Amino acid sequence: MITPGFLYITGAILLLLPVNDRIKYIISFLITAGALIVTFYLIPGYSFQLDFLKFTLVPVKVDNASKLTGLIFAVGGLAAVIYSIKLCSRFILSLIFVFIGSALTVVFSGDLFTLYVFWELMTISSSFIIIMASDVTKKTGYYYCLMQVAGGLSVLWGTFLQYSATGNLSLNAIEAGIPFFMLAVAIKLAFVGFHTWLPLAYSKAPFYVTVVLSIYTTKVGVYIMSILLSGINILAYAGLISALFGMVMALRQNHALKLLSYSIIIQVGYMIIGISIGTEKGIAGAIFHLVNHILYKTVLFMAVGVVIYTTGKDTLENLGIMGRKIPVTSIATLVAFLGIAGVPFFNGYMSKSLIKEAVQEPLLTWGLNLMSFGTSLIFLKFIYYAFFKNSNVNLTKKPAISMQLGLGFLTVLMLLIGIHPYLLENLMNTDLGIHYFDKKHMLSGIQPFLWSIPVFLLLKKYVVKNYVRLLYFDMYRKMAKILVTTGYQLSNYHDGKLHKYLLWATSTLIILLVLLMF
Amino acid sequence: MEAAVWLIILPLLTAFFIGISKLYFKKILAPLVTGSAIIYLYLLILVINHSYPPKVYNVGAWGLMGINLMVDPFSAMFLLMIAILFLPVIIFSVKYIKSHKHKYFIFTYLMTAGIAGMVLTADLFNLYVFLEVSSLSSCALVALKNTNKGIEGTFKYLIMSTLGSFFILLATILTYSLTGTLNMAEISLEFKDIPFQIKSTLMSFFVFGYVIKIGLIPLHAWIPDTYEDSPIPYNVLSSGLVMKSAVYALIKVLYIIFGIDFLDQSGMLHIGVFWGVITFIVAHLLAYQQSNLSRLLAYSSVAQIAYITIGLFVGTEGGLIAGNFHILNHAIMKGTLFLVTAIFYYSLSAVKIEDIKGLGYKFPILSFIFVVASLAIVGLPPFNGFISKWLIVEAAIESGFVYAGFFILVGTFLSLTYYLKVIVTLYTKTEKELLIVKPTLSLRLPTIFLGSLCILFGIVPSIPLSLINKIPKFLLDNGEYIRILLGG
Repeated sequence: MITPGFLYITGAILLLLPVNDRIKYIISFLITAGALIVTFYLIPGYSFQLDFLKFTLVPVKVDNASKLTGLIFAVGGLAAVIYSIKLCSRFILSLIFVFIGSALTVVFSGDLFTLYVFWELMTISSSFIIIMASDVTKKTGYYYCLMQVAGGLSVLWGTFLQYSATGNLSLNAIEAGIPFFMLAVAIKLAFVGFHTWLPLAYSKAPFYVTVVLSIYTTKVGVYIMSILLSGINILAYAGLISALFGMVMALRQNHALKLLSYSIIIQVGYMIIGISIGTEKGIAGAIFHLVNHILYKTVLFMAVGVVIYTTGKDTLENLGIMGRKIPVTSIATLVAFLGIAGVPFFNGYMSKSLIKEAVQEPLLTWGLNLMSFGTSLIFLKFIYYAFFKNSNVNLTKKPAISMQLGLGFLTVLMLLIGIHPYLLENLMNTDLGIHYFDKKHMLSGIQPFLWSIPVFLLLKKYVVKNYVRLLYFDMYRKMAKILVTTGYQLSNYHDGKLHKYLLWATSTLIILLVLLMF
Repeated sequence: MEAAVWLIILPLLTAFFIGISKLYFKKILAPLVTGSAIIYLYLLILVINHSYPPKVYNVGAWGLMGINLMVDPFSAMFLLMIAILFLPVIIFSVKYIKSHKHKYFIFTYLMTAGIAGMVLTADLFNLYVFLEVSSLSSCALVALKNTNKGIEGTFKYLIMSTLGSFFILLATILTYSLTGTLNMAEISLEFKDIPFQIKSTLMSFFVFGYVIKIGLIPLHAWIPDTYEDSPIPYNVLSSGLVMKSAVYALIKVLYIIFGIDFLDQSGMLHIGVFWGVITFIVAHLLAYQQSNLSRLLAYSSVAQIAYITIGLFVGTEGGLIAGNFHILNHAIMKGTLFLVTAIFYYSLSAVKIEDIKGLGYKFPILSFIFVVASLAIVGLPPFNGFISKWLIVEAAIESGFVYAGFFILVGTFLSLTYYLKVIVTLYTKTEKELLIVKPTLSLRLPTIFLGSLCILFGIVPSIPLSLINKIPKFLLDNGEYIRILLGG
């Protein structure tokens, strides 16, 4: 049985062969489209077993949620690969295939071992994409890799604890080692306090890399959280705090990529809240939001990518190019904006309503409203720069056709989901019994957006302003410094004097004798 | 079947003929050494195939008095390691070594003879003799380049190694005077009546002596010094075989002579695991500080040996399997890393980490292999190091050493910090014009072979594990071993 992840990894190996551009395009298109079709025809309930060492692994296990997530991953993969195919070298493309393939395998994995292996493979491939894609991202890649591996190792340790407590590796509810899984998911989700890698990596890496990374990295974390850690109510508040933090930070940014990066933290906050509620509606809402978020955030990243490609920079001023010269990108951006703001008849609305419906506590409801309001505000700023502010930036080159194709494909899907939200429910084979377009939901959906417009106009001079870059305190760099200093002192102690070696040897002998004799 | 005996004789003979060939016909060196290595490979495979059930060979038909060779799965695993490493290193060295070529090959063959002897013998004194053969030729190889640093390293190596050998010999003599025999099986039987305190003292001498050769902290200091300026292909054998053969000897002495029950009672298992944890934490921190690539790899070796120690001292079946698998994997991974380093040195005399800047674009395949081997040694999936580390952690947790398991993961993170540093440097573009000597196929092929094993054993670990899984049977239950040795 061919799985989409396996297909992608095969594609990666094929791309390593020395082929010319034409064959590269053909291979990439066949693999990405093939993976989408294969994912579409996966039957929920299917699973596949494999004996490895003394474990029985389940590399593939399909259920409704994983099928929907896999489907959107495959869609994102198709769009992202089409978008970036002109821009990246064959080797980077091959790494991107490994990355997408392992993300898909993680989604369909049925045991903790497979989960860990491909989780780590995602880390490795994405780190190497970052390290090798550009000359200025070496340190970023280093930082990113260390953070992600720390997360991966917590999964591993959690897996060991779970395994030694229960004796199996099945991917159901976690009983032992919950804090470690939480830590891992927190790093993947760029939870406040663990978020440092995200803005750094997404703003430094070349834009086509960011497009690919933003589809999978945090979303895999969300999906895994929905399986392993759902229904821990306290996390909902944590998600809220994280989202509010992301909101404040996003408002301060002058660079489009950073703004979008922090906005990911807000959107992931929605999903955390949905998952932490733990009800059927909450989890479904979170998964739907994941789908919608992938669609509009990818479109936004792609649009910013087009701006970078055509003008060279990603400052908000340069977004002004959108109003005039690049029509496809502009339309896509507008659709994505209305989607992320949660306006009815656009795609973000349905999942936001669903999560709001699932939330019972008034505090969280208010939090959700505030988050929607903040998101609208942030993207009004984005739109303001793109369409309303006068700018005199000029095109240096035309956007490639392939970029517009990728962009357009996702935009059509967004419109489709926005107009017919039951599409996702059908794909997931559930009926949540919610009427998306009744008065109550419409009103509560549109309110934050409507509020944000007058607020934006009133507070324009505070929102549209070049803030100084904050040099924030990075705990991890401090910790690293302590480790390096310790190592430095230790290595100073090794000055190569033989009498020291002999002294150490003698004391070891004495300690050994004492320990063993008594 | 006398193939086992030939495993010791063939390298000795080859070393002798290399010496003669230098006097009369200089040209046949390359065919001589490769030919001998190929025959050796054949013999090794022959012996490994007949390792289960274990076989005993009496050399010269002297019975238990004389020299006994025994091939059990544990020694077969080491023979497998020689089989994997030896031929590639020899092929590599033919091209790589430029000065003192004959001496290099003589000592390499002598060293291999010593190692083969160590893993085959069932006699405590022979173990010591073969250990000395391998460590002294190893010392000579360190000094081969005749540079200041090399000589200094050799001196330190000699002093420390002799200190270790002294204690091993002392312990061997004491054992002989206590039991009146040097055959491991007989000693083990006699040891049942020796008082606890005396046995502990003896054990601490053995442990101390061997650990100097293995290089756990703080007895590790000579290792980086010797690696720094020695011929790099030798480092492959040194970290892969010489250090490991000391591990073999230690484990054999502890598990066969003293027995697992005594190890447990005396607390040696706890000491071993704790010692391992301390060692790899310190070694990782030190490795991060190194600017010399060989020294970095040396500290990494110290750390990996510590993982092996943890695996072997956990004292369960799973632990022994995991430790042995990591021995094999480490030999392959570190071998690959050293060979790539050697090619960098050969092509542009790169010694320091900053010297290899930008080489990722000049040597795409070799750099890829370097990356694979580093990720494997860090312990990331899907490479072989991950599997053995997984097994070690699992075994450690199973037998109650939860802290060891946790710190192994911390150590994985620490080792990533410096390997990733090297990798990032490898892929950083540089403006500098580099004068590169193109490595020939005979340099690249062994490297690629070892590198591909890293991936193969990671994806299909059942290939080596089918041999390794039989090891614990004869170590955990020393009665089995004794019965075969005495009965054979």
